[in-house]
Amino acid sequence: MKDEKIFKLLILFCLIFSISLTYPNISKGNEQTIEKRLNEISNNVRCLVCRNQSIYDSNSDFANDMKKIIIIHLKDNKSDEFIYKFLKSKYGEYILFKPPFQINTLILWILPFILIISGLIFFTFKFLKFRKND
Amino acid sequence: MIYEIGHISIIIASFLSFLSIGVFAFHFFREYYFFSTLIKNFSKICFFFVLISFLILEYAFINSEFSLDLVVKNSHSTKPLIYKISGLWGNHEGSILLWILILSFFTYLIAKSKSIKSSAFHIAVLGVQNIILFLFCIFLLFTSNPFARNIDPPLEGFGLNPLLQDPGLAFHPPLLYVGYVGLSVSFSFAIAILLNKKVEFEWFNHLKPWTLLTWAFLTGGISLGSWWAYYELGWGGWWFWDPVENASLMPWLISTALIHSITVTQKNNQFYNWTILLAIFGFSFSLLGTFIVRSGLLTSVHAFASDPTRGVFILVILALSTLIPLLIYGFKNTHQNETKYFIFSKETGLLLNNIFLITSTLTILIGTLYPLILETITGSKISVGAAYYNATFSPIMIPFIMIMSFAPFLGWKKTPQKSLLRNMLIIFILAFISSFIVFKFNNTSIFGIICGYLSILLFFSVGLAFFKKLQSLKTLPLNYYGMLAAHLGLAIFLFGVTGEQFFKKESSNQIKINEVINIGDYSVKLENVKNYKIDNYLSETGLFKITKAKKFIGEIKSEQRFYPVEKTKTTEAGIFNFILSDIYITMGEGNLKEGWVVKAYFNPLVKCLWFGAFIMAIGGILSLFSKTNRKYI
Repeated sequence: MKDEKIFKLLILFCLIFSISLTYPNISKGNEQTIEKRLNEISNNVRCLVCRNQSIYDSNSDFANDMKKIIIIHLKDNKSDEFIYKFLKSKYGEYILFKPPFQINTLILWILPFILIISGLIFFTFKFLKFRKND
Repeated sequence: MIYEIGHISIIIASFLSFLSIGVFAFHFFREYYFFSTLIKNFSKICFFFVLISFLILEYAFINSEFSLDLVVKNSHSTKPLIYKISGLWGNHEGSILLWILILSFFTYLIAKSKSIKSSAFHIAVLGVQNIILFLFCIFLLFTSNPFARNIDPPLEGFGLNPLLQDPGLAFHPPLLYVGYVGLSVSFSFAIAILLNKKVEFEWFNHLKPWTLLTWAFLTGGISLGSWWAYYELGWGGWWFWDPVENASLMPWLISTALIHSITVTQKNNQFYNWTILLAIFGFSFSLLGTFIVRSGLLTSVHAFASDPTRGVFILVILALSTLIPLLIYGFKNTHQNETKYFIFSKETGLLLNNIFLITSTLTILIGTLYPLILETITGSKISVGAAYYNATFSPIMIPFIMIMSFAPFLGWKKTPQKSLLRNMLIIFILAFISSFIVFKFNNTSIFGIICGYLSILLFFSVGLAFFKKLQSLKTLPLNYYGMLAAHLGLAIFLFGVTGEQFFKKESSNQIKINEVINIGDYSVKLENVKNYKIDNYLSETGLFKITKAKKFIGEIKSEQRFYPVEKTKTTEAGIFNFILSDIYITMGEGNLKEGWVVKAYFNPLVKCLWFGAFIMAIGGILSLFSKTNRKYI
C-alpha cells in the first residue's frame, strides 16, 4: 500500500519536473543577441580550408570572412534557416555540420532512434516472458 | 649496423609468434604437456625481441640518426630531448611499433600469469594473442617498416609537427594504446572461452581485471587527449566529435558495457552471451579506431599519415578478427539457462546499462561512418558534427544517467521496492532543489538544466549510497568503492559539462595595446606584445592583465608560434586558472596599427571535466586491486 504511494509520488514528481523544464524556454523570448546567434550558427558551419574545424573554432581568413557574411545576414534580420540555406546553396551540404533531414540522410537520423526503441522493446519482451513463466 | 639488428629483431619476433600459433594449432590435435611451457616461453622471448627493436629505434631518434628515413621525416636535431623521444610515436611507423610493443608486453604478462589453472585455456589465450601479434608484425614489416634506410642521408630532418611538440603528446598516445591493445586481451580470453568445449564460468573472472585495466587507461588516455586539445589546439573547446575522437570513445563505451556485463556473468553466470560479444566487439572497435586514424579516409586533425594500402591491411585484420569470432560464436551452442530476476534488480539495471551503452556506441559509429558510405555510394559529401551528436547521442544519455542513479541501491535478483523508491524519491527531490540553487538556471536551455540536474542527481546517488554504508565502511570490498568512485567521476564530469557548455562566456574583438575585452565580470587588457626566439620556434607573445571590478586578478601570456623548420604556425592559448574554472585567451595575427584578433572565454567548471575523468580512472584501478579481481590477474 505504502509502496504504491511512493511510486505515485515519484511519477508525480517526474511530471512536475518535466513541466518545469519547459518554463525557462517560454521565458526565453527574443533575448537572443546577434553575437549569440553568430556563435550558434558558426558552430555548425565547417571551415572549408581547415581540418574538421568549425568556423567558430577557426581563426583562418576563410572563417573570418564567413563570420562577416553571417553577421551581415543577421543584421538584416534573416532567419537561421535562411542563412543555412544560403550557405548550402553556395558551398554545398558539406559545409553544414548538422546534416539536413532529407532522403539521403534519412538513415543517419532515424537509425539511432530505431536502435534505442528496439533495445527497449527487447527489454520489455524479456520481462513479459518472465511474467508469463510465473 | 645496429639498425639492421632492430629490423631483424622484429622479424625474429614475428617468427616466434608464428611458432606460437603453430603450437596453438597443434594442441587441438594432440595435447602434450610441454606445449604450454613452449608457447609461454615463445611469448616471453618474443617480447624481448620487440623491446630490443623498440629501444634501437628510440636510440636512433635520440641520436638524430638521419640515415633512417623515419627519423629524417619526423625529427630534427634542435628539438628538445623529450620530443625526440616522443617523436617515435608521433608518426605512423613508430606508433605501430609502440602498439606491437604493448601487445607483446601484455602477451608476456599473460604468459607469466600463475592464476590461469587450465593449461588448454592458457594455450588458447596465448595463441589468439600471438595471432594478433603476428598480423601486426607482418603489417609493420610489409607496409610500414620503421627501419627503412635512406641511402643518401640528409644533414637535417624535417622536424615534428609542432602541434605534437607538447608534453601532452608524450603521454596521450601511449596511454590510449595501452587501452586499445588491452582490449585485445579481453578479446583473446573471450575467444579462448569459446574455443573450449565446455564453458567454464570460472574463466570469466580473468576477463574482469584486464578489462578494468584497459578501461582505466582508455579513460586516462582519452581525457588527456581532450585536455591536450584544449590547451594546445587553441580552439577553446575540449571535444570536437572528430572522427578520431569518436574512434576512441567507441571502445571506451563498449568496454564500459563489458565491465558491467562481466559483473553479472561472474555473479550468477548470466549475460554470458553479452560478455562474449562485447569482448569481441570491443577489440573490433579498437581496430576500427586504428583503421580510421591510419587510413586517413576521414578528415581529421589526427590524420598525419595516410596511405590506402595500410588502410586495406588493417581493414582485412578488422574483418578477420570480427567475422571469424562471430562464426565460432554462431556455431557454438550458447544456450544458457536464464534465472529469473525482478524488475527492480541489479541484473535489470545492468541490462539497461548495456542496451544504452551499445545503442550510443552504434549511434557514434553511424555518425562517423555515414558520410564516408554516402560519399562512396552517391558521391555527395556531407558533414556530421557536434549538432548531430547533440541531437542523437545526448538524448540517449539522459535516461541512461537517470537509471545509473538507481545503481548503488539495487540488489541482486530482487530489491525491496519500498526502500528503493523512498531512496530514489529523496535524491530526485534533493537534486531538483539543489540543482537550482547551485546553477541558478536563468535563460539556460533545456539541455543545460537537464545536464546540471543529472550531475547533481548522481552526486546525491553516490552520496546517499556512501552514507548508508557508513557503519560498514571497513568491511566493504574495494570494488564497491571503485564503483562509487567511477560513478562519482561521471557526476563531476557532467558538472563540468554543464558549466562549460551552458554557462560559458565569450567575447572576441580586434584590440590594440592597452585596449580591453570584457567577458562576464572580468575585463582583459592587452598590456604589450613581444617577439622572442626560443629553441626551435619564433614566438609573438601578448601579455594580458585580468581585472574584476577594477581589482587586479592576474596576468597571462598568450602566444602565436612560428616553427621555421616545419613552416607552421600554432596558437598557444593563455590560460588563467581558478580552482575549477579558467579564463582562456587566444591571440591571432595582428600588428601595432590595427591590433590583434583576441578571443577570450570564461569557462566555468571546465577543470571538472578532466578531474572527473581522473576520478573515474582511479575507480577502475581501485576495483582492479580488490580481493576478487586481484587474484585473477
